[in-house]
Amino acid sequence: MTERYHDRLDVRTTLATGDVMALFRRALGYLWPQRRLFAARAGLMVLIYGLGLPLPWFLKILIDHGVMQQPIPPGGEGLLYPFFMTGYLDSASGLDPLAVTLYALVVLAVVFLFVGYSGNTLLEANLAEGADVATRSENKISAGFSAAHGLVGLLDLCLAIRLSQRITHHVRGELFSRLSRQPLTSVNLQRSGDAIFRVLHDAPSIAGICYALTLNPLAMIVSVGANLWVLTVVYGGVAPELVWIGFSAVGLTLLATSPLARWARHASQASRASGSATTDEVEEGLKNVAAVQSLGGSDRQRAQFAVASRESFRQSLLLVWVVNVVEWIAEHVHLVFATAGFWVIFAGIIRGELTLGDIPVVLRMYSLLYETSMQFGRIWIDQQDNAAAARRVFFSMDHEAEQSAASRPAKIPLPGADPLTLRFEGVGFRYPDGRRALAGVSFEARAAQTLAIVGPSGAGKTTLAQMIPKFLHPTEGRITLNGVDLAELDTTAVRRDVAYVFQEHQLLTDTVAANLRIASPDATAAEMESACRVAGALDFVRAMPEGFESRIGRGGGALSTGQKQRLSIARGLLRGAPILILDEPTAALDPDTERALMDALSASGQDRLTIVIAHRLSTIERADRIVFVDQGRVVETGNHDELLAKPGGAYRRFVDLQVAGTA
Amino acid sequence: MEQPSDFDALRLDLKGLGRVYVATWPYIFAQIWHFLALLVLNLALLGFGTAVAFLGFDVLLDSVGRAEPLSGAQASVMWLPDADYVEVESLGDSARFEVLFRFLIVSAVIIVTTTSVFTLLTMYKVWILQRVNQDLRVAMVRNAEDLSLRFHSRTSAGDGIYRVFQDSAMVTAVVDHVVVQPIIAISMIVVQLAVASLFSPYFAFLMLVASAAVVAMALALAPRLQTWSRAARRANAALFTRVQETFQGIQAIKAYGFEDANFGRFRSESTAALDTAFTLRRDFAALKVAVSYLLALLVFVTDYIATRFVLAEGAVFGASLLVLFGMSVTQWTVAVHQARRSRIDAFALHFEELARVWCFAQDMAVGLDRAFWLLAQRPEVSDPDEPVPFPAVLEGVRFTSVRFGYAPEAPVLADFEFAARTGEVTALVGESGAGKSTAMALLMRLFDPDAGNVAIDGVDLRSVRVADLRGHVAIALQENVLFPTSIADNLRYATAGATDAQVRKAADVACATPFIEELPDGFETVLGVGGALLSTGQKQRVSIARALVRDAPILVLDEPTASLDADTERRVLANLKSWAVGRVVIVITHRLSTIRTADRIAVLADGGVVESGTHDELVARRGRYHDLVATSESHD
Repeated sequence: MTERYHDRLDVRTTLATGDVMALFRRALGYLWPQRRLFAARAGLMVLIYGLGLPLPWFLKILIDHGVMQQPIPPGGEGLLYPFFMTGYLDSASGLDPLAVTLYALVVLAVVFLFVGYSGNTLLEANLAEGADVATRSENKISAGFSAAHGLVGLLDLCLAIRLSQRITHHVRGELFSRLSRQPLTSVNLQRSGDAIFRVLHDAPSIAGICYALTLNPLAMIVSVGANLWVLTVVYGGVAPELVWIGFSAVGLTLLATSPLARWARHASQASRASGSATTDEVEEGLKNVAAVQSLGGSDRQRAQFAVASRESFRQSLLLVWVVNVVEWIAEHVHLVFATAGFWVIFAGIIRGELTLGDIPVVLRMYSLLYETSMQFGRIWIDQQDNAAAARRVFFSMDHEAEQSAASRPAKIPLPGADPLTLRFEGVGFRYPDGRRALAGVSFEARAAQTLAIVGPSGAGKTTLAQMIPKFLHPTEGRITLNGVDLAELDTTAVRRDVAYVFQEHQLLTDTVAANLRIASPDATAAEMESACRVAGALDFVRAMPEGFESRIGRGGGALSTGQKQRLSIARGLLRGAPILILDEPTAALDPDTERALMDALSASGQDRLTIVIAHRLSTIERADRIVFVDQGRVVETGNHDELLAKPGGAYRRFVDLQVAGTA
Repeated sequence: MEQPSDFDALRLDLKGLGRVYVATWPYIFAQIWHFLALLVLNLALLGFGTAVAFLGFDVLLDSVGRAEPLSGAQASVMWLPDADYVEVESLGDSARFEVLFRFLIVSAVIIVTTTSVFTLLTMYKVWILQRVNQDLRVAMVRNAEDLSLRFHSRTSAGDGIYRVFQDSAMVTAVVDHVVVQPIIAISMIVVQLAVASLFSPYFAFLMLVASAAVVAMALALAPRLQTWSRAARRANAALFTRVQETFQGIQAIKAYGFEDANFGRFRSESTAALDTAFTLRRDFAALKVAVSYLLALLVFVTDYIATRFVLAEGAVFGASLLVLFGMSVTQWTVAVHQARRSRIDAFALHFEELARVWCFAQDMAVGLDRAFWLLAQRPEVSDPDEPVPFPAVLEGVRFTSVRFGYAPEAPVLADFEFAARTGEVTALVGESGAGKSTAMALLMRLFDPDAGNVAIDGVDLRSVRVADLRGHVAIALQENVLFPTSIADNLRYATAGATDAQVRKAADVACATPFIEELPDGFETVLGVGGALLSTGQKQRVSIARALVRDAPILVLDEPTASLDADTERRVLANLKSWAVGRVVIVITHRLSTIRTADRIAVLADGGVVESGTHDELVARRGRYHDLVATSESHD
């Protein structure tokens, strides 16, 4: 399954029944913060079932004492009615059949205004939905139903929807927050379509679990209990079979359908995994549309999407199959009991023990019992889909988060007063798959210096630099800031003091100002202008139709690569951090722009430690110190002149090659 | 966040509603035979069910309940002799038990059959609907992929994803909720109305009054539902965008500790999405409650009238016609009373269904309107009606008086003249932002020029099929877009049928083979998102190799060596030079070392080519190129 849906992190997806129970326990934890809404709904439920209880008996009155004109004796003496109807029967006794009818109808009309024909059909406000998992999530987010119609039902439904929404809001917020705090090594493995699917389509299932395991069964128990009790009280003496049939109907439905749970669980896991693969395909295609078009990949992208989408529909169809089979079984269980019930009622009528008016009463009670036992049977099956979703949600929530990566997350503030010293002490790094990227890296850098990291491509320069803001953690050795191990420093604190400008610009579809403010939310217009001036971005930003308030398109659309790069550098500068890391800042810049940028950089921050990864000699030779990296090791360190003076040195060879290329 | 892409109106009038649904027709039409089959089977099943229920009341209440004899039709269905059950005054107790027993057997058989058929029909329906949705989604994705970059730079991917999934899903619901269910509901309503009028014309009159009231309420609420539905979809699309962009730009968000602020935005967008969804559903539920109460009142009033009829022992209004339905009595009895009630109950049920469908229809129309909006965006670049084949023998590429700008008032290229010849490496140089990549985008027809033309061997690009053109131009992009699949897969991205040998050869030319082979699974190594696991220089070489696999006569390299060290650059360029024989090669670059390897150099400034010639010619001219070289050399 994993192979088929390109999932790299979440690879163990089978769920045993024990796992499911653990997931449910955890899901129920989200109910507690909403306890007041929950209690309100529980209270309404009692009211609804209470008001609903007398309704079928009015139907009996309409037939027996209206249409069939049987007179009502005081208190309904000698008739088959439950005790709670006595008062009403008393008040109706002695009326002529037409008056009895009118009286009953008026009472019904009033009760209906509040609770409708409660329990007959559920009041819900679901909208039309599609035919696969993703398109159904919208109804899950705002899921809710009420057993009543009428004003009380409306109130109950609104509370139900709010309750689902609040739980979903809580879960997806927590998940989103966790996902954006994953270490970079995991982020690189997780396709963003999958993350979208988990936050937006899997998270809503938690609310479903909360309901299905608490209020729903509770409501069912109350409803079944009340109905069976009334059956016993009224018909127990005359037709005890009716009661026994009712009792066994509930249990048998549950027994007949629960073996299908495993099947349902499997189908829904596959359905969700394939759904997230489909989201991936769209996301990849839209995000990289320029590349797709230039490389002539449109057809291929469409074909890949078509395959993923078809698979997702196919898996959803399997899920629909399971649910339908369950319903089919439940209906046949019901058929057996309804047939038996009919036999008993009409046999009673033929024998004169029951009246025609008992038919709607018993039928309604049976249909309530049937509906309820059917829902009961469905609860477990439906929860299999929710369990599959919950597993995906909790998997991501539990996945290693960055803060926990610090061995001792002590809150030592970054030493700020002393002049800054950054030291690498025998640092090594291995990827989780065992490949070695760095070994034995040691060097030191101080405030007010410019440090250049140089070396052939693939040497490990970026890996080395990404350890400074704790995107990656050394697997050997340590990195210290003013003598304090980075591992002991709070990640947020470190990142406040280290601004990292990525090789691949990372701009959002938003205004220029909003993109800049990511680095410094409170930056003033003047600060933004000055950062842009240093980065050489001010001219083109000003030339845009709305200046800093101009929107830039997807991934920075309409801007050239060089412009995006300068904007991204401006963002790094705006941070005002004592350490600035520029990963190949000038690759897309022409020599003039590059020179201006390097000049402006050295003029703008006297105390800053600037670390530059670069290939260009013009950038490198200005550095105070050069660290030459090859195959994961520091080969040479020193300034340009020192290194150039080493005959046969790696740096010397590197410089010779460049000069040879240009001369 | 308001999507700038959402130009559509907030509300649809009836005509707009119709237009949206008409637009779904081609997708539905593709499955029309399945739909017709489904409709016929469903109607047959429902009609059968109604007839059986009708007969059932009579048998149970009158014959079993009140010992009345059966009608001939009833007796024959239950295999009972007419002599003992039809041609008698009344039924004895044993006969009543016999009738009850046979009745239950017959209905059990009927129910087992109909529920089984119904289950199969449900599956059939889902299967058809999925096919419809699949077609629409694929069409949307195809269109979105074909739309020009001008479109994409104005919209967010999250909005696109929301339209493709959530909004397009409404097409499946259209057939169900706008065609199938209303047809069934309306035909059932008409039948119930007709049958009820046979009991008494009063009932039909009251039913019509109730219908008018329900319709008025539904119409009045429609605009509100649409407004909230659109608001809800926009809010959700904004939330999608937030999530999508967060994961796309996660590195910057982490680097700047923007997680908390971003999370704050997510929370407020999530709340906005939930609030609009809530309001929409609350209004929807309120309409349902009102409709069902109104219909309950209808049932009560007719109950009262019918009871009066029974008490007065009146004759049934359309008794002679009711006999055709198998009813055996002509006078108001309890069975007629209950049969009448079951018809009005059914009427109410179907009317509630109709009201529900109406609400769905509002929401669906809004969803589909958004889906079709994406589909209605015509690619600015389209195929000619009578395409000319791509020139077989290639002489060169020529840009003539080309003018182009992303915004009309700010042209990037103006009076741009440029030529590149076969067998030569042409370098395009100039300051960043000068329009070099834009010129190449015109060559790929990612855009069409606002004025002038781009031609290959004198053939205007606009007269060649887009796919044909892009099939003959290979490009290595400045931003190395790699997909999270295996390296081999990435290399084959533009050339699906490439052999292993071709892939390896291209990797050799791009100097990518050595590091690829060091990876755990070599060419089969699966990359992370955006090519993660490779360094930028390595990605760049994979990207160059991908263009080379294409083996196209025109090769464009956009900053191919920016992230390469000097040694690798030299080797890649030497390889490319020998590979390029007989092809048009255009290189965009800032690096002097790369520029020098070119046969001809064009200098781009102020939207046009200001100088062109060989390195030596241009240096001798002491113009812009000379200055550029001077800057570079003073540093190197």
